[in-house]
Amino acid sequence: MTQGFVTPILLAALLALPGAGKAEDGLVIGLIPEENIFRQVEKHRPLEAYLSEKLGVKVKFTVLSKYGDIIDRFSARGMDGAFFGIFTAVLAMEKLDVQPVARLVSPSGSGTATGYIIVRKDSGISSARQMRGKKAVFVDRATATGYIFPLAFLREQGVKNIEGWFSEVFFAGSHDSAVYAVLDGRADVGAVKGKILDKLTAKHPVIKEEILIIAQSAALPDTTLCIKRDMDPALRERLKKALLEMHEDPKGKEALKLLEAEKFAPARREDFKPVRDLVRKAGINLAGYRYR
Amino acid sequence: MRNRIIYSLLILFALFLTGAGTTVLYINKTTSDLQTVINLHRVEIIRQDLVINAQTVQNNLHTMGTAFGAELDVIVDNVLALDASVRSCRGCHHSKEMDERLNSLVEKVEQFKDAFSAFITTSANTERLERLRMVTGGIGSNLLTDVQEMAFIAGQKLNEKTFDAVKGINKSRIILILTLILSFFIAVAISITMTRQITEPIYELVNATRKIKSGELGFTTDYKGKGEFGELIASFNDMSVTLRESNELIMRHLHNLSNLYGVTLTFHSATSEADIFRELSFGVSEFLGAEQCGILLLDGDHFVHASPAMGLSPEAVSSLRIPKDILLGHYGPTKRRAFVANDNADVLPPQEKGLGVRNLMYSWVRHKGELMGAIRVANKKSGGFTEEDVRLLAILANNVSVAMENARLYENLRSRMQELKKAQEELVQAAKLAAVGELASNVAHEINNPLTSILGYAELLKEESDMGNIRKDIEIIEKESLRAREIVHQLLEFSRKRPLSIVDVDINDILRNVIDLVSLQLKDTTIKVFTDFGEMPPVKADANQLKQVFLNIINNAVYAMQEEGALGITTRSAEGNVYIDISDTGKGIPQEVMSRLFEPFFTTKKEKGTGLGLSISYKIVQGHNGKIEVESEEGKGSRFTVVLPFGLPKETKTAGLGT
Amino acid sequence: MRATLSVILLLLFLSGIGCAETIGIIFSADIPYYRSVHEAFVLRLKEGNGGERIKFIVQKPYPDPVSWSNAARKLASADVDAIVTYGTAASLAAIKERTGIPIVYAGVYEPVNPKGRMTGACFKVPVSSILRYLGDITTVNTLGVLYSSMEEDSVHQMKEVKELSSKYGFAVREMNLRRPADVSALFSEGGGQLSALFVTSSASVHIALPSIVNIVRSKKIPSGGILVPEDSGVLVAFTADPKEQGRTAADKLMEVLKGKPAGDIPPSVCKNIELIFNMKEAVDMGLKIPMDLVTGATKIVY
Repeated sequence: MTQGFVTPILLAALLALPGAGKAEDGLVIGLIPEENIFRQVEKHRPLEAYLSEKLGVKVKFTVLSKYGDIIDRFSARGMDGAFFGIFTAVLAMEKLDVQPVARLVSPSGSGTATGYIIVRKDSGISSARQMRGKKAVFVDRATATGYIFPLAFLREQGVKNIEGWFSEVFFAGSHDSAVYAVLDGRADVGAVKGKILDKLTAKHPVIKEEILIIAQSAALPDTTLCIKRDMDPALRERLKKALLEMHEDPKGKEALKLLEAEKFAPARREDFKPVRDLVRKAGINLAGYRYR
Repeated sequence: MRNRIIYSLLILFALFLTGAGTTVLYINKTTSDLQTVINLHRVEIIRQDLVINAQTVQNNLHTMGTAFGAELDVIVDNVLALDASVRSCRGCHHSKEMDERLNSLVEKVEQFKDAFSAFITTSANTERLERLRMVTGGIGSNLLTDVQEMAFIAGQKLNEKTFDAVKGINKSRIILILTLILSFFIAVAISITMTRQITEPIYELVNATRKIKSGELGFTTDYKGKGEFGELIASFNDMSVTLRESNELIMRHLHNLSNLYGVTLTFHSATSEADIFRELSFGVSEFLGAEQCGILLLDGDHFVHASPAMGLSPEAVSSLRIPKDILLGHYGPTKRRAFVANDNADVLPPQEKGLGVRNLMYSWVRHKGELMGAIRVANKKSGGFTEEDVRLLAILANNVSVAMENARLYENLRSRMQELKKAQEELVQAAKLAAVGELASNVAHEINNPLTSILGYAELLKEESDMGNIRKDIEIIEKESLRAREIVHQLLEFSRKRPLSIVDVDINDILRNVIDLVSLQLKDTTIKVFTDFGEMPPVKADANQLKQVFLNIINNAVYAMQEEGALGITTRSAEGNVYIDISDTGKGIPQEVMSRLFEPFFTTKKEKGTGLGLSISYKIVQGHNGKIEVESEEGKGSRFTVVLPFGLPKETKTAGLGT
Repeated sequence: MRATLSVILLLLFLSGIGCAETIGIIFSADIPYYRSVHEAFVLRLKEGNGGERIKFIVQKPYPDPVSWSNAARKLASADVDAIVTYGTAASLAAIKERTGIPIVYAGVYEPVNPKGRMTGACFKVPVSSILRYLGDITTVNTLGVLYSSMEEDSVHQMKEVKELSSKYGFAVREMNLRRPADVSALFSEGGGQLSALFVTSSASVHIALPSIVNIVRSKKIPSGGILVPEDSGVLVAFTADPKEQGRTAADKLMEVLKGKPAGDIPPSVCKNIELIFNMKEAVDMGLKIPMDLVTGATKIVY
């Protein structure tokens, strides 16, 4: 019985010892709330453990309540890096001085995401012009697929004042909600992340019959892990190595399975060119962008 | 018996196994009960954990955005902790109802997570925010209620189960104790029974043995033992009976033997053949209970019945002469044993006819392997002659021959002894004569002195005219003449064989006499005589004999000194004895002579001496129950000590002088 | 914006007229929804120019074809200036009478084709969404569809459900409620427990709604429907805002009274659709609460 007490005490004591020459006290990595935050944290727990073991440093994932929060909370929370969304990554590279390290690649192999602009089939809408006076639903000001993309799209289509074009514009807060809003007729037009629509369609195949995708974005780099530039280079290398070789480690494989991914692929700044294009097209100035 | 022991050991072993088995079983049960209790308490902790988690999470929800609100990380951790709690509950075994509730709980937690996540992540639309908060709160409180309810039920169940488990443990304890006590008592009972089964018969046997030891031979025990003990007891009884019978047999034998002994003793102590025959006849007829008994002895060609005999008239005795061959004829086949004719008159030698013989036995008597006769016993009153009779008589027969031999030898001895005695006497006489001779020469020499004196003085007288001087000289003549007469008397007396007359004598007087006798002899020497006479009680002795002894010793002393030295004579009495010391300063007695000192005819005097002096003295002193001790040192001197008791000398044999 | 403009014009026109008109009102059924519509309608008219002088003849017939026709005939014989019908049934019955009187409808399920002199306020709701939400709440194996074969809109809805049934993967049990009293019988017949119930916009059905709700409550059958009021007890419902319906209808009427032919006035599809989620009911039944319903619903009953 005492064994149950001794080991943790010893461990605690060991851990309490000044880490022999370790650079960090631990790494804090942020997660954007792509889905149920609890589930998301749970899904990332094995990855957390794996990285902690591999790097010899305690790695902690912390989840945020909103997409936009990540930019504010990054410094406040003392994060060393985060899994940024498509748009927030670009924002972060601009505002937080981070650089991309790796991203998850799904079994289908892409590691990219697409944005859809959707309408109900029976709405009769098929072009930007036909959207005039209708209700539009977006996801969040800080999402690429759920806002920046449609913005860019509409602008390209000649719409200058987005808010004025529609009779009503509201933010659903999540991609799921945006889809449902369109499905239920509470909105006429919506912009969502492709894989979310696909997921919902998989759950309710009827959705395919009812929804029409009238526009699709270019392939955008999906959720990417970006790390502060001023992290200890040796540690950053170790982190990179751990991530990129994860799929070769059995424990790593387990963690990846939970994240529904096949492996981590290296990420570079260049990957984000399409996003920057969108941003430009949408007429957004990153520096001054209000994402709240 | 052995089987019984094995069985009872097996039973004990089985008992032990049962006890051990029960113990192990109940210890196992107790352990598992305790384990259950431990588990239940672990569950208790999980249950409380669950409640706490649910409450924490609910609290987090309600305080979100307020000053008491927790960090999102913390909230996330708490919610995930709640999730984990609920799931861990599911991992355990529950009743179906409980499982269903747990499942619904898990679903509720899922919904709660969905709602809470939605609430947290929703864009700031106040109405929706509030709605979501309410929904989440609703689910949360529902969850909490459920959890609390379940926790309460679980708590109750826990208590019940703990109570049951504890009861179980108590029960186990009681059973264990009972088992122990029971086993103990049963084991004791079995052991006692077992040992009793063994010890009882043993006690019985021991008792019986004691009885037998205390003399109750033939004591049988009634105790009925089982199995081997039965055999043992039966054997014991048999043994006891056998013992008694043997004992009786032995007693009988002993009796017979003592009888035999009685008879043989008597005729072994018999000194004549006649005595032997008499004792034999009477003794045997008595202890065999036979009318006629006697012994046939080989005499030339016939075996003649000896006399005296029992049950036969002297005529019958003298008429009973069986030719040698006839008897030998019977002897041949029955050599080692006896010839017995219990009822068959035909086999008897014809000479037996007319003696009224009903049954007859000849027990062969051998001498140096040859048949010399037979003990004839006839007409045993109580039936025929038995094997035992034969055996006994055989022993007797052996003894008879021996006794007869002894008798003969005795006769021989006696006659020899007679001759010896005569020779001895003659020897003594010779010695005496020799001594007389010596004495005579002594005396002659002795008488010569006074005579010379007398002659001298007579010569003087012839020339003397003074009456006074004449008287003196005549007195001296008288004295010397008396002395001469005394010497002659002594001589005469000495040569006479006088019977011993034991009277109270005064040793000192005797010694004075003897000294007188030798003083003349000593006149011509430089030998000094010292005397020291102590108080002497009267001693019962023959004075003459003592005189002879003292004279002898003193003569020897004088001889040893060779005309110069000192002669000491002391007397004292102590402890019922008188001690007469006669010491001289002569040449002493060498060691090799000492041992032969009192040997008859042993002398160191060359021409003189008979060698009988000391031996006779010794005999005399011995006759007086005394002894002579000698101490001597060569060149220094010798001392002879005569020791004599006051009292009567023992019955004297005629050793020494006298008849 | 446009609506407001038309109303003002109408009022002006009407104020120019000055004479009192008589309007005939036919309720498809005397249900709370139509009452709300009517209330809003009347209020709207009173607000309008000259609207306060309009007289109403209200018919609340029993929900069956005969009654509806009778009601229409009565109004025809009363020689009303216009007939306002609440609900598809009444509207169709009125049209069938060929009275020649202009008809303005309200609370009509959109796919109804207006033939001839008809205009009004209608609404459009996706049946499939209800089915989807029901599917989120519980596993639907057999869906009961309460409709009335005598009401075209409910028949249409029933058909829509049937079409979607194969795609959603459940079986449909058609429950044709001809008379409201037949409700319990309808539920007791037919084998097996219903996984869920779909309540069409049928007037008969809505008359019987309280009993229906009792039954589904006792049987713990999740229900979804169209046009049900928020306190009805149905779990998920799409309802077009009755006030909007009433107001729009009033506006249309004003136009008609001004002289525009009904057939020339395009009907308005009202967008003010409420997705109502009765969470209290769901919690009472111990059902799963789909969060997207919670977030998506425009109204939640606690």
